[in-house]
Amino acid sequence: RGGVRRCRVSRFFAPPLPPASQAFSTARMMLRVALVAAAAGLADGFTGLNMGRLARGRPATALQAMDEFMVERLEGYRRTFDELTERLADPEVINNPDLLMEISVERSSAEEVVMTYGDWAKANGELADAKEMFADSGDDAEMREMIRGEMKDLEGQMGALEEKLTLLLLPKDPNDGKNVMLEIRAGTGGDEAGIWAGDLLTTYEKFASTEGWKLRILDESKADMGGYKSITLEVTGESVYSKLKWEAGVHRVQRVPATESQGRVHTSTATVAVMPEVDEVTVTIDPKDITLTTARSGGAGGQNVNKVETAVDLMHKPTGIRIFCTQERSQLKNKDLAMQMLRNRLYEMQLEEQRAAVSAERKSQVGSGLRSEKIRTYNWKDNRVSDHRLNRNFPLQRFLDGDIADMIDACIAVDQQEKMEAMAAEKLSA
Amino acid sequence: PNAIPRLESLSAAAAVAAAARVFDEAGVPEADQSARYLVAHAVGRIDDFARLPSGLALSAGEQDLLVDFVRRRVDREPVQYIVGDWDFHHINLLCRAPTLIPRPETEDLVERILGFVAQAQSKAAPLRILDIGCGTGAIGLALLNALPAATCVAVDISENATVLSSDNAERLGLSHRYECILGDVTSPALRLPGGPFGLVVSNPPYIPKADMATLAPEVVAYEDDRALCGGDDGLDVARAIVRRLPHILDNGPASSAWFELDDSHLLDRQAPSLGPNPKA
Repeated sequence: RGGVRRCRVSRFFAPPLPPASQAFSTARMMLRVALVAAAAGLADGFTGLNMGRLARGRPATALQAMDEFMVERLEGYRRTFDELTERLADPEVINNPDLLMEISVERSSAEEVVMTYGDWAKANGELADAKEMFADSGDDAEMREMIRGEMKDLEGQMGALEEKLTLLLLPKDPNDGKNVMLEIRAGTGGDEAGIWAGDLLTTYEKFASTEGWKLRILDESKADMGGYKSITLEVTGESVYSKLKWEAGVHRVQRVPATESQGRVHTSTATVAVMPEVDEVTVTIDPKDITLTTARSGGAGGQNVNKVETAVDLMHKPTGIRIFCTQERSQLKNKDLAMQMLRNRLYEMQLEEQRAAVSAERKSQVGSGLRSEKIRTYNWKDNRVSDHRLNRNFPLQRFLDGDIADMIDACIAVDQQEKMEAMAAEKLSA
Repeated sequence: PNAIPRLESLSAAAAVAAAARVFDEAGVPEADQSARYLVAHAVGRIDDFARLPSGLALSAGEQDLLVDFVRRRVDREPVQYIVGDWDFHHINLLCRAPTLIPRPETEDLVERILGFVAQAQSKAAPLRILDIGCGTGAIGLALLNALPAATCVAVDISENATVLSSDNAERLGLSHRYECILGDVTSPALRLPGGPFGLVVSNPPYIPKADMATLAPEVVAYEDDRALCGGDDGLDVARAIVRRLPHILDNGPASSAWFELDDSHLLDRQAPSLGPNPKA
């Protein structure tokens, strides 16, 4: 059971940075210091392990440079894990499927840190043993060779675990695991912009398919010459926001449009918005702020009438957001869907404000994630996609095939690097 | 039949347009909506009714089906009976004439009850519900679907309804928590199984007799009068239920009785004394 859960959680886990990165090395060093300190200081954390022995695995000087911040975080994870484990045994929780799920998911992410740290501590202990054996092995060259080999293995293992822990301890985006509302809107460029919006949709459909995500169209406005003026879809599955968020912004295309008779290259744009789906707790809507009109509003209803029109027109007065939902046979389902779409849009407005604030304050490469940011240019003649945040090019065909995993992973890697640099800067200034 | 083109390839868009035209000319209300639902049903994709791919081609068999559906609709048969099932709250229910087709207002009733129950007791706590005049089983089954520990006894005066609601319970996997009996709640002879209930709900016939003549053919020609007409003021059945309440409602945390009634019935003017049970 633990094995299966670990597999699931590690899919939240992005690929590690190339080890050569300076920020990464610094962070790993800080972590190593903290791990050793934690191993020395926390006698009761891991049953069955002799903590004193663990401490001897690494040089004594490292122990002195205890990194309280890191130790506190590791300890925090362990406490959280223990508390959540206890709560899972509570009958109140067991009988409430929603709460049970919430707690299980939270516990799984704490679990990964705790298990990884446990693995590191175990390897550290074995390293200490190996060193002792090495010291006691005297002239036995064969034995020493064997132990040296073992020590190298262990150090390799510990290095990999430290890398993993470093990334696990980075501040996470709380929206990463959420499903999203994806909106693609034709920008400048007339008919061609509409067609381009349709092309983006095709790419995302293909990508969603490889990721095992489900798509559901919530609203669409087709463009006369093909493609869409705008289209909104719901994307559900694992880690959707964590990946799709990197697609938010303005996508610019340079090519000869299908509608162009004289072979001239045009530049048009489409905007992609990626909105995390939020529940009623995260965004509460005051009933006084909305007017909901249905097909029955103002007329006769109930038993007297049998009509099949169940469309719902929802208007949020403070923001002017208006949502028209017609796609369900049940009026209640249309209402629920309209409210969900409204919540998502309101949350996105909040996020957009936050992004603007962060962007003003800190120069980030991968960015603001602001809706208006030009993130990529797609050039047909040169067969390439240029990502302006990464300053890197990718083959156009891959994008058209829906193979955008590399581009997304590259953004994630840079984001992690920036987080680590920020963490290191914080430490230095403290 | 000749108004719907029989073509080698008839597209969904063309089919909807043709059917809507027929309905318009025949004075059938909601021409466009009806056309969309029936074309979607003809191609077996009722849930995609709102966005059928416009280029989707109807086979000869599907075109035949559509012609039949259109003919029935021109006769003012309700779309829900033609399609055979309909969504209500978060469940799907079989719909068969003459059992009353669930209305959107009744979804609101279910939501209000759920809101009330949520603040009266734990979601996991048991609750015995009584649904009087169950029809398709809509209210009781929607409640059971949302409350995993609840059970429901349903009563209806019509055997069509008792059979249909049992079929719906079975189809939804709720039979083990749902029991439907044939009975007339206005008759003192009616015996309800088990003791008092934790919550009583009813969508009784509530249309005043005089209003019956004003109803559209979809309603008056196809749906059971006994589900619609509540006597002179429309409150005959509701009154009978309210008189029984002291004997059928327990004193549990969610103890309450819920009615869907006509606009003309303002409860604080019409409701008779409820006897010793203060919460109802």
